[in-house]
Amino acid sequence: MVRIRFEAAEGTYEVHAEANHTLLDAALAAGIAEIEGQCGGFLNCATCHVYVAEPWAEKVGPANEDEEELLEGTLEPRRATSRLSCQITLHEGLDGLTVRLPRRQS
Amino acid sequence: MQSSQHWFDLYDPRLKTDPYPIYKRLLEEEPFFTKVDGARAAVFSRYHHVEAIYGDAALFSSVKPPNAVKSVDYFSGHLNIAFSDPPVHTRLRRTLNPAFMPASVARLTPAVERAVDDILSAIEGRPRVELMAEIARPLAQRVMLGELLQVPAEDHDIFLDLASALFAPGGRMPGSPEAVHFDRCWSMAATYCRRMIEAEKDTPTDGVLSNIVRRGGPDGVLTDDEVLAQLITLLTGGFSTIASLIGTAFLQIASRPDQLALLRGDPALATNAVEEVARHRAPGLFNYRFPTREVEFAGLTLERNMPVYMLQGATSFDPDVFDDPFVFDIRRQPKRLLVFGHGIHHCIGAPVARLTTRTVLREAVNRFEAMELAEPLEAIRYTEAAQELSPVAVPLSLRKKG
Ligand code: HEM
Repeated sequence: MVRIRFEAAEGTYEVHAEANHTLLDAALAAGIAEIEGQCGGFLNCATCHVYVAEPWAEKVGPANEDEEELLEGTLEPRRATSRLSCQITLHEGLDGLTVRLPRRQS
Repeated sequence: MQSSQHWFDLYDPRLKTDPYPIYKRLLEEEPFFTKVDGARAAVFSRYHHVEAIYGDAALFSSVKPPNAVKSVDYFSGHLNIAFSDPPVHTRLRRTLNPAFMPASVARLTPAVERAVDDILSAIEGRPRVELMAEIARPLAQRVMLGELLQVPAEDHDIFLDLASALFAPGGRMPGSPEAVHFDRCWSMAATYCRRMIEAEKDTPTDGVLSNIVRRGGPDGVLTDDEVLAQLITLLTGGFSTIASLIGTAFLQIASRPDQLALLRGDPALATNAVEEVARHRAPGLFNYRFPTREVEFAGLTLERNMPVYMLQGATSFDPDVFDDPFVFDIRRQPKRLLVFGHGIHHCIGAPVARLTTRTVLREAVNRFEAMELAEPLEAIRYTEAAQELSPVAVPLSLRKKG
C-alpha cells in the first residue's frame, strides 16, 4: 500500500493505493472529482493534471517526452512540477506522496 | 457456447426510440454471439468489458479486415484515424491533439458563446422553432467549420454534402448512383482541402491545420495524403455529432419539467446535465473492433478478425458502476462514461461537443422562461444512420423572458 495525499482547493483527500497502479487509478478509485482522466489513462486528453509537491518532485521524476507535449495543453498553467497522473506508476518509494490538484481539468 | 441468441438486432430501431428494455436485457445476457450483416459477431455491453476492449488496441484492432462491416464503412477505404492502429494511429493522433487540448478548447469558449448568442437572438421572438434546423445544425456547423477549421461560410456546403453522402444509410455498392455521388462529393472536398493545405504551407497559421501539416511523429511529418485524410475527418466528423448531441439534450431536458426546473434554478448545472444526457442517451449507438488473434475473453472464444460489437450506450446502465442507472438526474455526480470511447482512440472532439452543448443549453434556459416539446417525445423520428442517435427534427415551443 502506498499512501497518497491529494490537496484540492476544497479539501484534502488521503488515499491508500496499490503499488503498480497509476496515480490516476488511485484518484479515480477514490472518486476524486478534481481529476477527470477522460481518456482513461492513455496519454491522450490532459485531464489528469497534478502538481507534484516540491519535496517529491525528484523522486517522482520528470515528465516523459510525449507527456511534455500534452502538458502544454492543460487547462491550468503548467508549472515546473506538473505531471499527468496517468504517467506516474506508484511504488513503495512514493509512500506519503503529496500532489496538489488544479481547480478544474477541462 | 451460446450461439443463437437472435433476439438482439444491432439495427433494431428501438435502440433509438426506447433503448432501455434492450439495454436491460443486454446487461443481463451479454456477452453472446449473434449475426450482424450475415456474419457471426460477438456483442459486449457491460462497462468493464467494453472498457477492456477499448483499452487493448494490440488485441482489439480498429483496422477493418477486407469486406468486414460493409454497411458502416463510411470512408470507403480511405485512411481515417479512427480505423487505424499504432504506430500509424500514434503519428496521426499527435498532429490533432494540440487543437483539442483543454487549454485550446477553453480559448474557443468566447467564439462558441458568440455563436450561441447570434443564433438564439435570431429566433428569440418566435413562439415555435425547429431546433435541429434552426439552432443545432447551424451552431455545430459554425463552431466546427467556421471557428475551429476556419472555412468561410460560403464553402460549408462542400463538407455538408460530403458528410451527408458519407453517412447516408444503405451503403454504396460500387457503380451505384450513391457511389458515383459519393465520389463526386469526395473529390470536390479533396480539391478544396488540397488548396487549404497549399495555402497553409505558403502562409503558416497557428490553427488546427498548421499542426496537421507540420507536426509529425519520430518518423517525420505526415504525407500529403495523410494530411488530407485528417482534414476530411475533422471537416465531416464533427458537426453532425455535435448537432445530434444538442438535439438529444433538448429532447431529454425539455421533456422532463422537473429537470428543466432544476437547470433553471442553477444554470451552472448545464455541465452535469450534458453528462447525464450523454449517459442516458449515448449519441453513438455502437462501435466495433477485430481481435488480432483467437482469444478467450469474458467467457467467449473470439475468432481472429471476427467483428466484436460494443454497445456503448448500455455501459452507462451497468449497475456495477452507476447507482440507480435508469434514473435521469442532472444532479448525479458525473462518472467517466464510455460513450466517447476510451483509450488511444478516445474521442478527440468530446470537449468541443460538450462545450457547445452546455453553452446553448444554459443560454436557452437563461433566455426562455418556458421551453417545451411541441410534439410528444414518442413522435420524434431519428435519422437512419446506423451508428448515430440523431433526431430528424425537434419542434420546440418557447416563451421569451420578460
Ligand atoms: C456527441 C459528440 C461525439 C460523440 C458521441 C463521439 C464519439 C466518439 C467515439 C465513441 C469515438 C471512439 C471511436 C473508436 O474508438 O473507435 C470517437 C473518436 C473520434 N472522434 Fe468523436 N464523437 C463526438 C464528437 C466529435 C467531434 C465534434 C469531433 C471533431 C472534432 C470528433 C472527432 C473524433 C475523432 C477524430 C475520433 C478518432 C480519434 C482517434 O482515433 O484517435 N468527435 N468519437
